[in-house]
Amino acid sequence: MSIKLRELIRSIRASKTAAEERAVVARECALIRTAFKEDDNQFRHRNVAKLLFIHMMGYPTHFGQMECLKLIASNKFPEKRVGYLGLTQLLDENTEVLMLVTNSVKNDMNHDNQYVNGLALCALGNIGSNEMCRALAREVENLMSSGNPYVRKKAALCAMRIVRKVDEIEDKFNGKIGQLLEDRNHGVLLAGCSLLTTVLEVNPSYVKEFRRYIPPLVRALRNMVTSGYSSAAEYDVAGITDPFLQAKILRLLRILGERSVDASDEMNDILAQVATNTEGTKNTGNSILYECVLTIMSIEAESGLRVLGVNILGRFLLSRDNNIRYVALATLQRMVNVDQQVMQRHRNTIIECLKDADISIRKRALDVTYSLVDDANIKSMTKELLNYLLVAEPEFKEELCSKICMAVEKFSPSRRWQIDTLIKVMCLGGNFVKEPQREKFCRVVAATPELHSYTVIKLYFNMKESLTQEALVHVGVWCLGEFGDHLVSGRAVGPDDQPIHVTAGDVLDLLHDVVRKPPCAEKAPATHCLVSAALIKLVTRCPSEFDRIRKLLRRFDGSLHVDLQQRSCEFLELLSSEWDAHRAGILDRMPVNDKEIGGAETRAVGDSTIDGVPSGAGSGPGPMIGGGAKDLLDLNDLLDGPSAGPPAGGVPPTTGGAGGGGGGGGDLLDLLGGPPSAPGPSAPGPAAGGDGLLDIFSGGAPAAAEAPPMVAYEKNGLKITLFPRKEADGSVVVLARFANSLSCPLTNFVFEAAVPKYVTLTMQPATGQVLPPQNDMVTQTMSCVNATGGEKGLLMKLRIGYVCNGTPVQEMAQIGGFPPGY
Amino acid sequence: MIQFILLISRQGKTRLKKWFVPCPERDQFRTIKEVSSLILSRSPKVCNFLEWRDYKLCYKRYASLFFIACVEGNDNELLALETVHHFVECLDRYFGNVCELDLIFNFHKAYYILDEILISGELQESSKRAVLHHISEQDAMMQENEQAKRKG
Repeated sequence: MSIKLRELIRSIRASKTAAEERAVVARECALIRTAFKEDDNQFRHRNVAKLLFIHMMGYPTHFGQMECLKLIASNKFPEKRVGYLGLTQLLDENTEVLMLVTNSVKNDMNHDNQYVNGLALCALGNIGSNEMCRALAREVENLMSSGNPYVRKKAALCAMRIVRKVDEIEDKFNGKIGQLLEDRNHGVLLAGCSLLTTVLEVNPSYVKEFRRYIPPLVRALRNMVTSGYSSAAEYDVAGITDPFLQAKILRLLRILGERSVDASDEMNDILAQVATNTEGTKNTGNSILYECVLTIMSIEAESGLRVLGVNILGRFLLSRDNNIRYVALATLQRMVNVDQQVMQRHRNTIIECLKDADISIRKRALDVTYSLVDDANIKSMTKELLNYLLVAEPEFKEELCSKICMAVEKFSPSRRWQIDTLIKVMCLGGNFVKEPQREKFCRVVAATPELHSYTVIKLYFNMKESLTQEALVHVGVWCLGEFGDHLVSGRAVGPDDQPIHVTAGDVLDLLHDVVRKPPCAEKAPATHCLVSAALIKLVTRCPSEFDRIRKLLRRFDGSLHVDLQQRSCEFLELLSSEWDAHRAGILDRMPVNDKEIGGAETRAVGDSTIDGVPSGAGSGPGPMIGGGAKDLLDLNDLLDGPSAGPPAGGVPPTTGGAGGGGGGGGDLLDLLGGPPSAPGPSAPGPAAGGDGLLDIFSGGAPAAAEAPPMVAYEKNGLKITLFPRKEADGSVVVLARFANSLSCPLTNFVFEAAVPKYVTLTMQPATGQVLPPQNDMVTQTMSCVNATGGEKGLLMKLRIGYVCNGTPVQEMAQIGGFPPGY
Repeated sequence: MIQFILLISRQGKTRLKKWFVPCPERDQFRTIKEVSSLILSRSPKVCNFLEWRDYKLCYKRYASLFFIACVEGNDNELLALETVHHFVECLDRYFGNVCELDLIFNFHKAYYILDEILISGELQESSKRAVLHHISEQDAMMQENEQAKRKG
């Protein structure tokens, strides 16, 4: 015998343990299943009701789905009611059996009892699937004109769901909306506003058409604002007439008034009226004021009205009610692009909110703070953000770091300040500074030779203090490798003009510490990779520590981390004496591509004593890349002056020699990114593609005798690939292969090359003067002898001439990026 | 629009749950667990809003129950609280000083009332009197049917 719902609830509540409860539920579920199986009609709706309770407790109840459909098909109201409740609770629009209910719903929508209609409409509105919406759209449309407001409002909300679900009939109900908006029943008007809002959100192009309904909306709003309690007691909430409808209309007016002066004019008065007459002491009134302010700020409001809105917002921001402060911040966030002036006026209050006890408010305030930063306040705002970084929850820190880095990059007044701030960020939140920002920092440092010494010293001492912040350690290690010579030169001075004495041994000690205690144990191999790269670079910068470097590198040659193992083995190989002549070149500074730095590159370095040196003058490849001389005759001058203009501040002249691999220039570990002494403009070598952090050998291993092919020229369907090969006698044979990917032949083809003075070039004739379409058979061989034995890199300037479709073409190209030693 | 409405007791038991967007049962229960632990751990002094995924949870405690409405990012949070309060007042008038036990034993009635207030996550009736009137008429229809059954 089936027990009553009340009894079941009581026995479940009487269970003392979870196991007991499970047993009660399992027993009851078994009984219900049996009853369903026996098709027991008498208690079906009671059983479904019990199942709903069990469902709410989190137990599986799928076997009740079909029973809901049976109940809905019944003609008894109690069964229908429970059936529809079960339908909306146990099923959702993705449940397959939902399709089966469409017909019952349709029948109920046409039933002559309004409450049966109501049940059906409610079900469609809450869980109607795309198919159901499509199938029942016509019924809904009819019911929207029903004489009964109870049915009308529900039908209008169903129409809203249909518009959301079914794309192609978004305009089906447009003709009915007008009458809904003029309805006197608040429920219908409310539903009509919701429907129109949805239509306009789905397809904003209807906004124009619906602007003609602004007057009735304004009228409805005015009625509510001016009506006393007596006339609308039914809708009164805390002394305000129907805040729900007021807010809904205000939101709709916002959509209708945006970007239209005329439409905005029509609503100016009523908005002012709402803003001034609404009592702001309770949540109800504030919910309307909040909506009203949003509308005022979004439309083309008169200046007076705008002031009114701004004042309300200011009042909100100073409110002691946390909810009100929260929405004030949310509003400011949405106004960011509208009114920077207002934002700046409230800056201190907003920053104060960063210290609030409530995480919701802190989060909102933080978002607003980010958008407050500009050229004028970057220093003070960054200070606040750094203060916040110190105390912020870990979940905020990553975003905070990234936002500070972005702001600094965008607005920093000087390079020095930029570097200082970024180091501070890494000291405070180094474990939250992500890879791209670290790379960017390294690039900025590398591109600022005036601050190499300053930066490396600063990083060195910060690292000595603590090795727990990963980003700090990683960029620090990189800088020690690149610029360690500044640190041990003995010429460095501290802020108080006291000379700084750091020995090569100290630097090695620090690196040793990093190896022993990497900031993040799981990511130790990445740290070790960076250390190994720094170590090898230090070979040339601190020659006295040669043996110790070798010893440290040996720690890694058996590493289980493949990349690290390979890297250290190769580095150890580089330490052998046969590389003595080339080592300095290979281990030269990373080339810098000024274009990638962005932000502050145009700004002064930021220190009066070093501002005199033009930024970037000593960074070698910069001017080299830019100076792509047009005339072949210029080539030699260009190539002969790689180390022109050594920067001040004791940077050794090696700086200028770096080159090649422009694309990979910023990678922390792209140590061998470019072959040595090959200041190659536009670097066609494979290095250009190597952007990954661990892509160390993107320039090709120095030991390779046969270099990888290089694309020297690719334009307008013509591609020239060079295959350089080093011969036993030291000369280099280069095979050029010409590929024509067009469908027409290239005739009168001439390929010429020029080389610097220290190279002798012999050219063989090409195998043909015509490049057939879709073909790469034509080749030409050149042989070069480099008088410097590879100390100065091989360079070529090319002139290519051909006739395509009767049009003569003349092109130039330069190639560096030949493997080291060529 | 409102994504879902939850009633959670202070002990973390679900007293009512209503989704207006499709959500598989498993995710519903996972969400309930996550949301209730977030909200139950909040101090009573802080604001009534909590950002959760891309949504905002607007909640209010009435005696031993937390009423939670999950709304979209650009919805009016204060109005969401009003909506919740509207529902609470309807419950209160219907049950006459509603308490948690009423909602446990008559959970289906709470759903019926909610269905007269919200459809598809939007408010359909701002008049409490209208809501209660429609509910009592439907209750009467239930009674008639029961009586007819008894007689028959």
